[in-house]
Amino acid sequence: MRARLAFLAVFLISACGLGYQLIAGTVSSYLLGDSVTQFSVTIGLYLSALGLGSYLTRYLERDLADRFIAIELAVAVAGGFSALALMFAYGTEGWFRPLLYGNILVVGTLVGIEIPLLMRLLQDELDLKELLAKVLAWDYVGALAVALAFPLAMLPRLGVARAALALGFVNALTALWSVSIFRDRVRRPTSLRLQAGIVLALLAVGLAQARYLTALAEHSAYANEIVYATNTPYQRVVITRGPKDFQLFLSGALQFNSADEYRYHEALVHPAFAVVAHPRRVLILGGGDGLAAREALRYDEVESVTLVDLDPEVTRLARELPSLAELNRHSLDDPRVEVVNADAMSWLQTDTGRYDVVVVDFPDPHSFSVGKLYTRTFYERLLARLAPDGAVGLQATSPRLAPASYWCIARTLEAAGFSVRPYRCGVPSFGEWGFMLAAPRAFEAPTRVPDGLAFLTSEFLPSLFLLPADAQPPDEPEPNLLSTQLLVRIYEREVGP
Amino acid sequence: MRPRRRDLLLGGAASGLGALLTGCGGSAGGTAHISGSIVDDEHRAGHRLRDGSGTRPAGTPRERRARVLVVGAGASGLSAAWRLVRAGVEDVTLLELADVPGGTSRGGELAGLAHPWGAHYLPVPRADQTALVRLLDELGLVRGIAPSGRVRVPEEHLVRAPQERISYLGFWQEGLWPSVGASADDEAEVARFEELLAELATPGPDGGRPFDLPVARCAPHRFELDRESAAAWAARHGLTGERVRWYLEYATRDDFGASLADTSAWALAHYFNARLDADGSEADFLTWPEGNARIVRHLADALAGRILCGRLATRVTPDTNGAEVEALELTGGTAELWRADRVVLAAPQFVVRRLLAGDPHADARARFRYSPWVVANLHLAEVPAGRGFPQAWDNVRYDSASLGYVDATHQLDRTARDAVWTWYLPLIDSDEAAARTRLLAATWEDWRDLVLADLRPAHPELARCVTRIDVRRWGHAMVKPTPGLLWSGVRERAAAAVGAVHMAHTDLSGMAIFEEAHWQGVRAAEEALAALGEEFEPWA
Repeated sequence: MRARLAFLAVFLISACGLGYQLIAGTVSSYLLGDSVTQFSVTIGLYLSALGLGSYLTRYLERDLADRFIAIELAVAVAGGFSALALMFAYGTEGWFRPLLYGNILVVGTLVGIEIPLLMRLLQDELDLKELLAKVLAWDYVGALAVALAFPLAMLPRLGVARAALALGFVNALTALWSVSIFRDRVRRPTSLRLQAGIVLALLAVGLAQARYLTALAEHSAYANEIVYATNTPYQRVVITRGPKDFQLFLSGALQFNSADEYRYHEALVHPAFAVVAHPRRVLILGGGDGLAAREALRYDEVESVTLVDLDPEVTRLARELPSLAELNRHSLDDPRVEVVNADAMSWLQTDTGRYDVVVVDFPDPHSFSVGKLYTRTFYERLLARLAPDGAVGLQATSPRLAPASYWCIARTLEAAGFSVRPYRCGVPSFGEWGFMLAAPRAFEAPTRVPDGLAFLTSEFLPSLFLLPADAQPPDEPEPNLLSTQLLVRIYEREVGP
Repeated sequence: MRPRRRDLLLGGAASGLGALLTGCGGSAGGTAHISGSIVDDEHRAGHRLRDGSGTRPAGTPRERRARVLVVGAGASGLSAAWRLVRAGVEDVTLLELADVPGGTSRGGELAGLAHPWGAHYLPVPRADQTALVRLLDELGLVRGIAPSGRVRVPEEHLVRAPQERISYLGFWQEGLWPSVGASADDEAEVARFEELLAELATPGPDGGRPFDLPVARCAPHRFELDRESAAAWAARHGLTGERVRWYLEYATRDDFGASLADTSAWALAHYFNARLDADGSEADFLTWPEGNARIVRHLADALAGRILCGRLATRVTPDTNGAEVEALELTGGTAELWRADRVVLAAPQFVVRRLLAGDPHADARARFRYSPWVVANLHLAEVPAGRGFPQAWDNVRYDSASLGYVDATHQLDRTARDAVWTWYLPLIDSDEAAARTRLLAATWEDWRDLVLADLRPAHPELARCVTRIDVRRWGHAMVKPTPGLLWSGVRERAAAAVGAVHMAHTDLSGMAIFEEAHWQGVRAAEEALAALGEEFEPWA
């Protein structure tokens, strides 16, 4: 009977041990990118640490049951809090990798000690043949169970932080239960039960507060789990992951959701292409995520795409973060694309190029430093770089949530000398979203988009330019000037707290 | 994109925390990492004139000649010479005491960033300020005339929003009136003040504007205000609360370097009303990273080859054939004797008193009083966090003797995070001589500590972020529009030509602002043109 219970413990120990490694591999893939490398390193380190732990058991002679249980509790703590610790460490400089690899080694070594110890505890009850066969079988079955449960159930339901804490909880329960299994071999049962109780309590607090603690690592609550966060000189870059999608936030504002960004980016890019006869030279201002570039590169006629984004960290992520690079189809590595990390306002003043299509994809005008990119002066500089038969597609906030802001942008473009056609579409993550199609001449609304898009069709396109009754312009919108930054104030009023 | 913001206008938690976490380079409390120096020394040469020491070297002076000699290459002297050259008088020479032209409009550079050393903005003029509009046109700044009657200028040269903020108890709020923490009485008083201003601004019986630019153009029906101090006027109208008095005195300190008691009530009303348009809106401000140095550099470029720096004029003597000017070339120590058909004396009245031989208006010139100022330029490796409204162009501290600082990098689009702040301190003591003694006695370390202590309540992290502080002392930075100076005939007598010597300086308008310096320079130049018999179209 005891042996059967012990085999269940082997199963759980093995499952939890591998579970922590899957979590380490997932977190490091999210945060460092290159999941093949991360998982290879994690598994390799873990297996070698298991070997190290097994070897170390030759130095253990006495109190094997007490040590087994104490080690199990140590695994519960080291593994259970691993994901949270990694998230906190990511905000610090230079602590993430040492903590990651240190944690893998510690958990691996401890689990490596546990299995041989357990076999030695059971050696009096079974012969070696039986013992080896059953312990190892349960060990590998445990590994299989967690390998299936982690991606299918644990990660989507719990997220990495709570998945790790839940595994730690299982480890600590196993330790508590082992005190009973080996009650005749344990020398200090009360002390061990007390220790297990403390560890369980800590993990329970962690589980209950996991969201708060993740938020603490962040300082604002995101709907999904944060898998990447960094401060650049210009903004806070955060990537969160839900069950089926992921999101990019800049300074707390959602930039895209992978589930429906195609709607936004198709609507942003293709109408401008549709009113330009020969879209050869493309300029993208903002859009460092590479998603607008992906849409522009659909056109064979495009010879060059110049992408100007302030933040090198965002364009680096667009290239190197596997999930994002896959989403933008490695657009920033396309030989036709040139990435410039510069302030768009000053870059426009010094640039001498002429562009057939310009895509403007800045964050909403939520601060004075972003607001200047929506001023008449900015649009005048933009106009000077646009070919006479060129066109501009701009993101222009929501005509539903921020109608006065939306129409202020239209008015400002007109004041700079553009003809403007406002349009909008539904993007589930944003709601009703607004755009402007602008050109230095009067022009007809576009009627054709390329085949094979996920959202836009030539039949549907004209409907984008129909504005509903609740998105009509206010009486007298005024242009946004550098000297007034009227738009920032309007936007603050419309969407502020 | 999606509006998921909290309080970004109130200084965004994210950016605030980010700055807190990254911090700046320097040590926590120390100042040892801050370099800098006091960069002025013109007063030494100037005091040779005051003390009469070493101004008459032995030997025969070198004789030189100019058709028109302009003494002083500050804003008014440069403007006078510019006017003469534009009227076709090519033989113009300027003598300037300092190493560079520009006077208090000069600028400098710190860590590759341009900054002002004094005057740093110019309100957009009305189209009828002819000479000034012509100057701005030469600078490529005129794009027509707006319905308000002011010239239309390229937006990028106007002060960008946000323009002003004020720190009250360590928290920044937009504007210059600290409404957070103001009582109902405070708000009532400031509203009352605005009503009084609007009442004063009503045109006279002949339709003339009582407060205008240039000052000479003001209609006379409010002149009686000039007899009273701004302090007495405010008290008489019940504007006695601490906050409203701070607000009023901020205005007189900012524009005149004077206390309320030393400012005429007319000058206070002029400060608030002179740049208002019929629709009640106020003129926008033109500004550049280097401040008004942008304008004086254009003037100096237009006068290339005619400006002689390092020249101390020691005597100006009008005679029947024109005038003689004795000067000292400071580096070589050689004396020069200039002979000119006309002289434009573009110097403040306290200097004119010492220069002009047989001055019939010495008593009038003795009435002019000048405030000393200190200007410090701080280079910051990174802009420190502040609480409340975000960084503006003009950043004022309530309840401070200083005027706060202007961000010289505010108009720039760049990705670098360092900045230069220009900090202004007028010494408003009524005993200006005592204030000047203090000004010269303080060491660079004293100024460094004063600047840091002054800004610490608004920016607790500041000292760590500052890498360098350069300090310039202006002994006579601004004329004070003391009660009675403006409309008692004193200015007119001081401005009157003495023989072939024409007077041009902003102090002749009773206030130190670029519009007046330029106008006085152009007016004196046109007097000289008329005396020379030149044909010209009047701009003044």
